[in-house]
Amino acid sequence: MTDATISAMTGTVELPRQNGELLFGEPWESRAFGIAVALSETGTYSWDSFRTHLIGEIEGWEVENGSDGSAPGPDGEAWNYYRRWLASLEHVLVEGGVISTDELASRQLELAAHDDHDHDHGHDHDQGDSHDQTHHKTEVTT
Amino acid sequence: MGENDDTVNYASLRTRAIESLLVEKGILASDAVDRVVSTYEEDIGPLNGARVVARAWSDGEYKTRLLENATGAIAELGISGMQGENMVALENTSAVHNVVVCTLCSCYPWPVLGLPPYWYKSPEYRARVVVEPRAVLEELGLELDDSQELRVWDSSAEIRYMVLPERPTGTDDLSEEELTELVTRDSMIGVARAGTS
Repeated sequence: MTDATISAMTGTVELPRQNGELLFGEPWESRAFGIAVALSETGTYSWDSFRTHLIGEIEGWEVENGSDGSAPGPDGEAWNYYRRWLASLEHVLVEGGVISTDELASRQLELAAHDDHDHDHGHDHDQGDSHDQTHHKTEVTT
Repeated sequence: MGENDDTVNYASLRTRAIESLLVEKGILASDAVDRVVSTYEEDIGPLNGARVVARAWSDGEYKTRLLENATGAIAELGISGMQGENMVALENTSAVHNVVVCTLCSCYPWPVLGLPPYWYKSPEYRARVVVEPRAVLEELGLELDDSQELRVWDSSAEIRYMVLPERPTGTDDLSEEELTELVTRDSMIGVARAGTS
């Protein structure tokens, strides 16, 4: 897919790539992006199916929060495109039976516990997580 | 960026949890994710689109082919689509100005323009550019002549648009490669002119 001559051109005519903002605001966003694209390439789901979920996720957020994107939602959650992307990824995987919400929740707790062990962030992970999982469950049933 | 630590932390953990489960199940290879990310971060960017525009400015026959069948003309330069969608090129002239949006989600010609900028995906741009495009363009720093017709194109899963911006005046002596440097991403979305950023 990647044309070798295009790659070779970087350095000489790089300008159009530099005239924008960052592509990803946080490292997890590029990860979520990469996972979703990689799975569509290997056929775990079709791109159309992912896109349909994404449209639904974005629409759902806008119905709840208004489409001007300036007012944070009831959870105080500001608009973030890749959060909708992540929710779509999660839903398309759960619907397809690839992963279950239960195993996802427990893996998330394991990782959080592991992080707390590794270095003391001073954050209260448990509180944040349980809130988000409650929120997540309501999303899945819709 | 306006998000508190807990929301970022949740999303980050959730993403890692998904990746870790998929890798464990043998569904996903971590290096496949690395490859996708680096391809889009490093190899595929608006430079591809800029090459298309510069070629069209330099070669009238290529421009005709681009406006008639953009998918084919873009493929001539070795650039091909990821999901096989059709490309349509829209020519900006002194009489008509085109601007592109995706009101439903974020459809965008990745192989030609790279990944979309943050504002392109925002609810505000997607909603407002359809209702009051002149005001939105003005806020983005592009003032159009009142006599210029403004057309807003809504991308879909099947059709992705790119704008062929007007060639800046005083560029007759420039080579195709030099012209490439004048073509910004924003000019190919239609929210700026070429040669300005």
